[in-house]
Formats: sequence, C-alpha cells, structure tokens
Amino acid sequence: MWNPKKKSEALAKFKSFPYPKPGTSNVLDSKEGDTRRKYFTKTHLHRLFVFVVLLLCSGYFLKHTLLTRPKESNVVMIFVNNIGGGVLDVKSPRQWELEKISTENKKKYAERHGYHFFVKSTGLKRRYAHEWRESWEKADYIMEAMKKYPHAEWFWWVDLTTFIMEPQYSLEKLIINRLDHIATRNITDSMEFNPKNFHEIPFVDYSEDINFILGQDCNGFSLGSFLVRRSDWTSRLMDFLWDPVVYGQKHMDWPHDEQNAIEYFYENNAWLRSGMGFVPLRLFNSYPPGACAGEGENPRFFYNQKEGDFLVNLAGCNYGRDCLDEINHYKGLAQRKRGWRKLVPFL
Amino acid sequence: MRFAPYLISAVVITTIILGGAWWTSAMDTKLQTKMKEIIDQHTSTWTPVVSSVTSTQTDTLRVTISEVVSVTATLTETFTATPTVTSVVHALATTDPHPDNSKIVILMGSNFQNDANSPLHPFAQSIIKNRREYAERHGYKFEFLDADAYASRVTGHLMPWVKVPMLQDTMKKYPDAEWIWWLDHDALVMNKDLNVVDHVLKHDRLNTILTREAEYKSGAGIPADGFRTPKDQDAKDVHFIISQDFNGINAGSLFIRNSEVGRWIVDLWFEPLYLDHIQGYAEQQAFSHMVFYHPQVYKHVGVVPLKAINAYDFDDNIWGYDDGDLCIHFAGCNYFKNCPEKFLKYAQILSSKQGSDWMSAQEKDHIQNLLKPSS
Repeated sequence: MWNPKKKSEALAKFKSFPYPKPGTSNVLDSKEGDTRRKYFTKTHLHRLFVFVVLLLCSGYFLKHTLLTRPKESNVVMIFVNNIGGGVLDVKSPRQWELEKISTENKKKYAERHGYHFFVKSTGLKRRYAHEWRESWEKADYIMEAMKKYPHAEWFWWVDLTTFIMEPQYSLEKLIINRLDHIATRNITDSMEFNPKNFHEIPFVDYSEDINFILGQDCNGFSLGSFLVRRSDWTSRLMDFLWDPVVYGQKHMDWPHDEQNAIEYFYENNAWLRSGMGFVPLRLFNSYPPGACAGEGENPRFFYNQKEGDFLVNLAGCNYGRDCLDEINHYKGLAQRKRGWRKLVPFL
Repeated sequence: MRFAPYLISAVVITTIILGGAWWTSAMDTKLQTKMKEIIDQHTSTWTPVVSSVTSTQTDTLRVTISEVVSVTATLTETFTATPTVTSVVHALATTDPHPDNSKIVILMGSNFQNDANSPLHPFAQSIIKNRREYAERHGYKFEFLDADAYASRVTGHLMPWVKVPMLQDTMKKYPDAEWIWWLDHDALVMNKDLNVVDHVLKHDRLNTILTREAEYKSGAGIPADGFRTPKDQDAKDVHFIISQDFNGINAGSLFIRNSEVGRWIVDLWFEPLYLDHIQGYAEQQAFSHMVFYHPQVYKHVGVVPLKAINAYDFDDNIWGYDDGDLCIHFAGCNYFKNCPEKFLKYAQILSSKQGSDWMSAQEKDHIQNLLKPSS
C-alpha cells in the first residue's frame, strides 16, 4: 500500500514536519478540487432546510400586514359629513378642511379592512316648526344602511369630529371577536362605571345577544362612536326612539338628542337593557383634554398615545374649542411613528 | 469574487422571503374567495353559517383544496384550512302553530272582589268561579291578580293601567306559556265547551279569522281614518290578538304571546310618560297609540272580529252576543251604570244552559233571588 510518490507530495506540503500532521491523513487520498464538497455536507443541508422553513413561516405571519386585504366584510362604517349643509351659515374653509381630513382618514381605514363605507350628507331639514333636527337622523341613516347592505351584520357609526389613530386595528379584533370579554352588561352593579346612577329593574335578561355597543363618558352614554348589530331588537329601537308622546314631552329637555333618548328609555325598559353592552370609552372613543371638563387626567376618558388608543373623538370641540386645530394635532401625532414601527415603515 | 457567496445567499434569502409572503397571501386570498362563493350561495341573514356547510359544500371545499395542492405541488405537500365563523345574527324564536292547552294562561285582574262599591261586587266570586272552571275544564292555567296589590305601581293614574304590569308579571311567572288571555272582570265565559286554542289561537284558525287590510276605527289613540290592518299578515308573525268596536281597539279581551316580541310590547306599553300624558282610555289608548306610531308593533298585532273574543250586549249581529259565542263583555256598563242588569241578563242565559252550579256557593241564593220573576 505504501506509495512513495504520495509521500513525497505530502512531505512537500508540510516542509517543516518530518511526518504527516494529525487529522490530515485523508489528504493522502484526496483529489484535485475536493474543497467544493464541504458546502454540501449533511450539516449544511440541514441548516438550509430549517432556514427555509423558518422563512416560509415568517412569510405566512407577515402576510396580513404585507399584502392581504379582505375583499368582503360584514361591517359597514356609517359616516356623516356636510353637517348643517350651509343652510344657516356659509361653510367656512376651515369646516371644509376638517371634513376633508376626517373623510380621508375614515376612507383609508375602510379600504384597508374592506369595510363598506356609507357616507351621508346631512343638510338641515325642517320637520317641526320650532326646530331643525339633523342630529336625529342617526336612526334613519342606520336603517338606510341596513337596507343598502342586507348582508352586513355590524354597523359602526362614527362622528365627523373623530380621527382614527391606529388604523391597523380592525373592529373584529378590537371589539367584535372579544365581545364576551370586554363588554359590561349590567352597569347597575356597584363595581361598574355608572355615571347616570341607573337602578336595577326587573325582567332584564343579560344572556341575550349584545346588539348595541357603546361607551360611557362623564355625562352618560357617548354616541360619537358606537356599534349596532342588525337584529329585530335594533329595528324596535329605531322604531320607538321617536315616540311622539315621549318626544313631545322631552325634546326641550334633551340637548343631546338620541343620546338622551336612549338614556331615558334605558331607565325603564328591560328589553332595551337586555340588548346593550358597554365597553371602556377609550376602546374606540377616546376623548381629548377639553372634553369632560373637570375630569383632569382621568385615564378612563382621555386619549393615551403610549397605549395606542384606537380612535380619538373631539367631543364638544364646536363649543369653545377649535376642531380643525385639534384634528390637525392628532393627525400629526398619528403620522409620527412610534417605537419599532419607525424601522419598518410599511407596518 | 470573494463576496460571491454572500451575494448569492442574500439574493436567495430575499427571494424566499418575498416568495413565501406572496405565496401564502395568494393562497389565502384564493381560499377566502372560494369560501365566500360557497357561503354566499346559501347564506341568508337569518341562517347560521355553520348549517350552510352541507356535504355538497364540503365536497366543493375538498376539490378546492385539491386544486390548490396541485397548483403548488412543488412547494408543499399538505394544506389545511379552518374557516372562521362569525357570530350569528339573532333570530326570533319560532312561534308554536298549535300550542297545547297547558300553555295557555287565562289572566284576570280586578279589585271588585274587595270593593263593595263596585257594581259587580255582589257577583265577584261567581264571575271568578266561571272563569276558573272554564280554565280547569280545558287544562289552561288560571291566574287571578288582586288589582289593589298593583295600585301602588300606578299611583296617581287611572286604575286600568294595572293591566300592563299584571301581564308582565304573568309572563314572568309562566315562562313556558305560549299565550296569555286577558279578559276583563266585567265579562262571562258563555260557552264552556269552546276550546280557545281551536277557536282562535292555532295558526290555521287564526289565519282565517284575522282581518287584513281592514280599517282601524279612529278613536282613542288612533287619530286618523284610513289606517288599515296589515295586508299580508300571517299568524306566525302575530304576537298580539285584539278586537275593535266603533270606538277603536277594545282591550277588554286580548291575547298576548309570551315571546320576545310580546315582552317588548308590554315593556314599551308601561312607559311612564304614557301614564302621565295619555288620558281618557288609559292603557287601551296607549296601545292604540303604539299600533299607530310604531311599525314594529303594528306588524305584530292581529285584529280579529269582536264577536270572536269580545262579544257585546248589542242587538245587532255584528257585535252582539249570539248563542255559541265564547264570552260576553259588558263593555261600558260602568259608564251607563247598568252592570248588574247586564250581568243578570247573561247569568240567566248561562243558568238556562248549564244549571245554577256555575255560581259561587255563597252568592247563589242572592243571584237566584234576583233572577226570580217577581210574583
């Protein structure tokens, strides 16, 4: 077996050693160009396989934010603009600008999540001799949207003076799919937030479906942002909301229209209580400082950027505050990326 | 090139990332589209999504998966999909088309058994016995509620309003009942053999006696002529049965279904502002108001002929009692102050049909003395 030629060659490679270096004995039998094999060893192939699998998984997990947009949805966003319609006053450029910002914000959100976007212009209409009633049209528009989208289940009313700060949250993930965990049914319990001091009444069945989702602010129900489910319960609510006997007695006492009407009926109607669910106000209806005057820094009501509140509702900004300045402020906040999102611009 | 291996690795890695993302999203979108098509074919607003996935749709889904697998055979060997089902829109419970007699409650509420000034006080026990025996004969449940116990709930308002909380309490007490029949205290059941289920309540019968597209009489609560009962009403949608006379709806005899809709109607009916601001005919006027102003009430209220459930003491054939009618209602006798006369008239008829045992024992002699012709 001994080959004098091979020995000479080996010795030529290791000039300073009189014998082969330990661990290199295979060199005696190697051939030209053998170094390429090390890239296709079992270890390397195994590592490559694992790497590919992990990459495929990462692609799968990233798909939602990267590319996927749902084609259909059972959520309708109801958005009302052109409030007042310039009937009593000429609309100012600032009002148009406010509408433009808000409309664009909502439209982008609807497109991103595939929601239907139902826009209504609410010019003032006279129905009673002594008042204009554009604010009462919420029930009409909800019923109109229910007719237009017969397959949709959820209808989200969102006021003009709101801004969606975290558009990556879908309503399904934020509210609808975890309703059982976040909704409060019985606010008369002493541990629950109950600013109107509602008392318990008989015949309420809290096991019935939730058909109406809303938050409460320092004054009671807050209807700047709420969700309604299509159901017979909802048809009944929209039906009796304007009962002429009740409205005739109360309309001068109700500055907040539907909000006060629903609060009033909530007082005495067991069936109404059975269908309502309350969520924390900041879940989809945060307030800016200035709304709920006197509440200071109450974390129950006010927008918290660090916690990434979904939507800010500039409630009451038409009375003594400047809506356009506020919405521009929050628009600026929304456009400023936070944390690790600075590094990944498309998320 | 010394950096060639790094460049090749970077390109490969990037390609795999982008390709993986595209691949998963494309497949996901395709599958969602397929599922949407399948569901849309069979889903209506009131049908649970789960039940629409029948074996046919399952086969289609399997074919879909097979398609996807064949298209992407070079990338993966298996693929699974779990469709997410969203919550179902709540649908009303189905109404019973032919309820058993045990699911009927006859409700009577009054204080005439306590109030000696009430014109029918001397006959109170007999009237109650007449009602109870009718219920026992047919297997219905009978509920008598003392109106004095409910007076505090309508303090400051007309006493007839107690009817509404009585109905509410009875619905609560008999959750399995299908129908509750309210009949005023100034009434007598005249035909003990007539089963009210066969006579009114079973859907086949109710569909034949419902008055459709008939004019509601304007009067207390309904302000305008020309308001008509629903045209295409079906018994399964009727949750309230009532009749009307020349003055509009008469709430002396009514049937209410113990259902979600029925409980809603009763809840709304007892609106405090109705009690404050609806005068005159009290609960009857409030109910007419609800029918007129609230389409959701209107479509669930069925109007039947007066004689079917609420015959009057009239001489004409339209409203007046005839032999064989279910009951007689002395409507308005308080106003005309002739309650005892009307009662005695029909007590005579009832005695001639059934003998005198329908009367209460302690009142029998008194009533029979009144019935005797003076000699």
